[in-house]
Amino acid sequence: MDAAAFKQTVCSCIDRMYGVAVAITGSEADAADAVQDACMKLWERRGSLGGVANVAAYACGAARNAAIDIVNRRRPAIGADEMVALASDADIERDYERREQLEGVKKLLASLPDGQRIVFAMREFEGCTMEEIESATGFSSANVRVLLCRARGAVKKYFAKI
Amino acid sequence: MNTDVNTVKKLLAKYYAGESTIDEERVLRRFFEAADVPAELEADRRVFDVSAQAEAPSWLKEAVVRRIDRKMRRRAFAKRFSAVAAAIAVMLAIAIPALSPRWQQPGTMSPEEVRQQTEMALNILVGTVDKGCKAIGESSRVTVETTSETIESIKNI
Repeated sequence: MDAAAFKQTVCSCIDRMYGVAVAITGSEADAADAVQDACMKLWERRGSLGGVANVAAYACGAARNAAIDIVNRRRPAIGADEMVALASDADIERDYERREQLEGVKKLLASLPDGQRIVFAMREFEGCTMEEIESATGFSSANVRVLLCRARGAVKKYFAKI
Repeated sequence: MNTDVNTVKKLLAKYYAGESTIDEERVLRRFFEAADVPAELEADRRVFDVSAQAEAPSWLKEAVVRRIDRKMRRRAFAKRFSAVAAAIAVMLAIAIPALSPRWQQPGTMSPEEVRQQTEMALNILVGTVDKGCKAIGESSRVTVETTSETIESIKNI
């Protein structure tokens, strides 16, 4: 894929990539970093993009991985079981300052625990299957269902109030 | 095919339990994209609208394009520089033995003729290097000057 075609392809995916990254990181600045990191990795692999069936999905996957790396760098790596246990006590105060700078739904997503946010973003923004989410996160299928259930419930509760 | 509200409510129950399939969620998404969603399902519609709101800031697209352009410029510079370096290496490999008295054979060109031929070849080389490095930029000027000095010193052997 030549440079012009690459730029056109990537620019057409950036909105979706950004949506995934914001949903996962809960931060617009971190999401922008994740998108740029992902785009540079895609640039390095541009030679093989011609053989990819769904470039948009591939690009969103790259943005998702970059966003998860950023989330993991923020705090010490915790195991999948711990992430599910933490998810049962939504710590709204933890990201208070970051949430204040975001608006609407972004604030809501930023307030979700990492596990819920990542699983929600992968399913709602990327359209990943349960198996893809399990593979990317290391969570068991039961944990993915629990996290998704809690995230969706939190989002529904937010919209039911306003 | 219009999905009725009762079916939607059953699918929503699965959705909030984290048990709906991708196809079922697609049905729900299509339902909520329609204009006439019942008021009782408005909050659910907004849940499905979350992923549709994503829009990257315009500066982000520009930043990505700038970074790609920068990488392309660096790649072009590296290619030209290595081509020039390869040309210098080849010419030096030819010039140094040609100027050395041990390589001169009786009955061929005189030392002065060899020196003139080599000087001509080296001048062509300097011109080529200069032309190539003008495209690379000011940072290469030191390289060109160093190379020219080296070639001049070879001429004086």
